[in-house]
Amino acid sequence: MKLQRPTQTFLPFSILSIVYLLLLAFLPTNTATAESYHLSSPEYHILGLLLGIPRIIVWFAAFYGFWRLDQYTMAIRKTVDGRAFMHVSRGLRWLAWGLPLSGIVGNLTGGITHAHPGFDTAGVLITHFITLIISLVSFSFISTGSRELLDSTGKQMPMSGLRVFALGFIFIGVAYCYATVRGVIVQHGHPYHMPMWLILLTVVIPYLYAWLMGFLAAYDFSLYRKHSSGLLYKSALNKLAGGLGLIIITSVLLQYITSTLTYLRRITLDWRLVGVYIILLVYATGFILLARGANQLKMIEEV
Amino acid sequence: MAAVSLYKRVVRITHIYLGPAADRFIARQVESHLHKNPEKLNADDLSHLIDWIRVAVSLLTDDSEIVEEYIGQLRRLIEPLPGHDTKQARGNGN
Repeated sequence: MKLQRPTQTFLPFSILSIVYLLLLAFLPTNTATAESYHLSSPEYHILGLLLGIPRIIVWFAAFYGFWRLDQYTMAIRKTVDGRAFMHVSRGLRWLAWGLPLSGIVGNLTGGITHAHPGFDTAGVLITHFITLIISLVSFSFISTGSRELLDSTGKQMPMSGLRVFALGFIFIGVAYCYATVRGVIVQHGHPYHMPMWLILLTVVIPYLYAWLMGFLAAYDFSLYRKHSSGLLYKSALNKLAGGLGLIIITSVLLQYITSTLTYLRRITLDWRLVGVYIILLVYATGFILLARGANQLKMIEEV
Repeated sequence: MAAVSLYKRVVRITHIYLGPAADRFIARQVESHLHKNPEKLNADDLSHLIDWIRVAVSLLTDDSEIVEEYIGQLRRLIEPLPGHDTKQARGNGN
């Protein structure tokens, strides 16, 4: 792994952002969505840009966050912690790149579907599998790194914590299964257009596995922070752990909401916008916290 | 039991503040400011090293209490313990 220069990180970000904005501005209006919210074509595009610009700010925060963590990781690459942080950093890189990629692919497939309605199922599946693969890879890397960090302290997950963790995850998993299965049974034209067994096999199980990896990573990292020593080191690590926790939880929340989207149509547009902005704000806060923590840790290695 | 080198005692104190980064931090200060092998650190170098550590740690935190507490602990290494062999207090360097 080589140290990335700022241009190597931020040039692709700028190109992806411009592509995304151009798609928002020039893709034909999705008449079904526009009609359901009583929007004219210009209003539809303005709304798209209004939602798109905060998204790009979040992407910038994500790229900045992983770039900062990369720099810290490079500073300690020869240590045991360095190798573990490298996995975390690699996972965050996947997560950061996944944001614009899934956004662009989602818009492109949406645009193609509008012109060729027969592409609907393929478009949904392409967007779904790209988001899913990014989620699986990124959370697996972060989880591997967090577990290595926890192992380096010689501590293990306590049984009481494991019980609460298992209960919480079962609750989330069952709620997700319920929402997905109900969506298929109740609603005609469920977006996946697949038999139930295939939905369970290719949507529910992989997502639950990815989220389990994500939550495990957040929990392991918080335990590593707890068992680490050093007043100043821990202060920086607190920010890093807080940021990582927020990123993982918000990321899972976003995927949860996106994959059970059919239910959200009941919510009014105003509330959907408020919800999206809050989630984006928390997501960006997570990456900024992570960047600040990584910056502080890097300072310790430089002075 | 072999006597703990002065370098290791400095790292042990630093560990309270910088955790796993302590060893690397002290090695860097000794190598870049005192231009010597960290394991060769001796009591004569300590005062100079502490000055550099104060500068470095002040860049890491605005909390002067933490800085003073850390520097105070390091300064105690300069004062020889009652009945302690002066040669041992001077570390194992040179």
